[in-house]
Amino acid sequence: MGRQLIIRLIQMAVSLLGMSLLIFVLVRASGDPVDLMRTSTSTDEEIANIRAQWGLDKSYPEQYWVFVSGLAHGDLGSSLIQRRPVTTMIGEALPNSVSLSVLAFVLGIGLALVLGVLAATRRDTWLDNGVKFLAILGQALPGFWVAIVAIYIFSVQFRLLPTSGVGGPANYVLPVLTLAFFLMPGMLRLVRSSMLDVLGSEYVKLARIKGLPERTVIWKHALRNALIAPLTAAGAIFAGLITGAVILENVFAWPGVGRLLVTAVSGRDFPVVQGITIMVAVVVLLINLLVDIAYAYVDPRIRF
Amino acid sequence: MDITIARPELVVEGSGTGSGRRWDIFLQLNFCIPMAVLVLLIVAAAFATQVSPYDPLQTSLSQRLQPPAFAGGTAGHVLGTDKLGRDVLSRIIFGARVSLSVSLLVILITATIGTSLGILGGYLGGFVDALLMRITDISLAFPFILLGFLLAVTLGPSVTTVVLAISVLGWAPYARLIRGEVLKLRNADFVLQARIIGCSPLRIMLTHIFPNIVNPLLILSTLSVGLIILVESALSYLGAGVPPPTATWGSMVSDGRGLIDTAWWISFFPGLAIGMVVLSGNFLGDWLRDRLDPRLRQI
Repeated sequence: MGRQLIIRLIQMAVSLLGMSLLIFVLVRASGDPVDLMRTSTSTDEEIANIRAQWGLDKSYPEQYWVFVSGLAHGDLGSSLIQRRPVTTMIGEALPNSVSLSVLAFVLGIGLALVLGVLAATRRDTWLDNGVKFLAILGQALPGFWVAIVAIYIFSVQFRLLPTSGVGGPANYVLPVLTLAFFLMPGMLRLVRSSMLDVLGSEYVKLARIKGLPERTVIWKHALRNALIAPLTAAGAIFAGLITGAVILENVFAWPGVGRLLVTAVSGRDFPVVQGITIMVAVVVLLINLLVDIAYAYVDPRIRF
Repeated sequence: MDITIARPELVVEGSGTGSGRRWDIFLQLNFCIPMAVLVLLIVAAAFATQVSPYDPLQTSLSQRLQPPAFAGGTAGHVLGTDKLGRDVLSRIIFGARVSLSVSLLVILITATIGTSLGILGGYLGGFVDALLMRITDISLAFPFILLGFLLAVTLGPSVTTVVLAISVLGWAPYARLIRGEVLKLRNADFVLQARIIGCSPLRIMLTHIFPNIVNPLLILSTLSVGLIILVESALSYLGAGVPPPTATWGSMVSDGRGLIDTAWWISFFPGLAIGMVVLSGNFLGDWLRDRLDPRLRQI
């Protein structure tokens, strides 16, 4: 296990290096970043100065070294528009994103577990069909549209909740609910099908024969084993959480990292987009590492 | 008589023979409703100029924010107009072009790359397989939307950028599925025999293995239509998709966001179009899977 962990950490470092190289090449392949700032009145001398200031007059290997060593120090560069360090801007936005995502994750995954188990144990009843319908709808309707319809119903028609922004707890209701609804269907389908498999297994039959109460059989013996399959998809679910958060933060004008990202895209503020992408990449790789470890822990049959 | 008993799957599968069986398909609701929606989509995209009542880009200040015909508007604009007076229905019809062309291009690219890598990894095994699967795992766990943004900033938003952004990660599910299928096939008798008579690995992969993975490939391609349309519309919604003034469903929903308290129809109908097409793609994929390969429950 210890040796495997070291191998995985090395793999992770290699992946990160590959990703930084990819981003570096992308920036250079798309043309000179200074060209984006050129106006009709800018002289060649000005351009040359800016290039020198940004280190763009150095050779490519040198530029890459500067870029990667900056990353290693946690330096993501400065925003072209706000002229502030990208790390500071992310630091300001991150708490908003984290609070929204964590609440939606707990609600969405919690609901997926409960509904998935209930649907599997009451197969082909109205409850099962209703849950399946909910999952199908949730996977087909675009998240941003569901959010806008929800705003129309609850904020415009009934005037119950604020339409956007942060403030009191009421501001959390719609973003959290829509993000949870965006996240739930994938997990729900996984839990239901995995639970159906487990319920047909020998050890569940044995637990029933032993005379254990049905509740213990389902929520302890069966569910614990049924969770192994969804755990392998945790990486994809996390990716879904990030995607959903980026989209919904923009619908609800939520001042998080996703909103920062989209504002930066429309302003072509490259360092910000690059910084956020790299930060998310690191988190994604870390999560996958944790999932691998958790996987071996939950299912002792798996040894790396 | 013995033959029918020995091959019971024949009895289960076909309820009739010849033309009767062929027409059965059209009596299945979970086939014909989604199929009808997709045919409608293709017709709308192909004949957009003939079908749509107005030019999707034509603005008209006097016709701004007209409600749909059934909500107090005029029959001239069935689904109403947006804040520039452009006809919503016409824009939805033209938006079908973007959704459809992006989906087709992305499926072509991702299916080709993913299938090739999946067959290579699954058949060759060893280091190639380990490396490919590692890359696949990372691609599956990477939020596609970030890559879309990155490309939109560097290459500038365009149809090419959108296709590229979705394709860069979109091959991974194909590689994962096809590899699994190839692993089951690689030690099958017909593959071993081909190897014994001296077929080259390339020939085995192309002419012996590939024909046997066409079904899962077809199912996954159909199921991915919905996902691609959702991704494309999300990128458009966030301003990283096909740039304005081209009508796309995602950007139309986005246009109506700020006017939700006065003109709900600008956002509502394009979103409904996305939902219906995605739903149809998913249903058709499920139907195809149940018919061709019910083992593939997990995709």
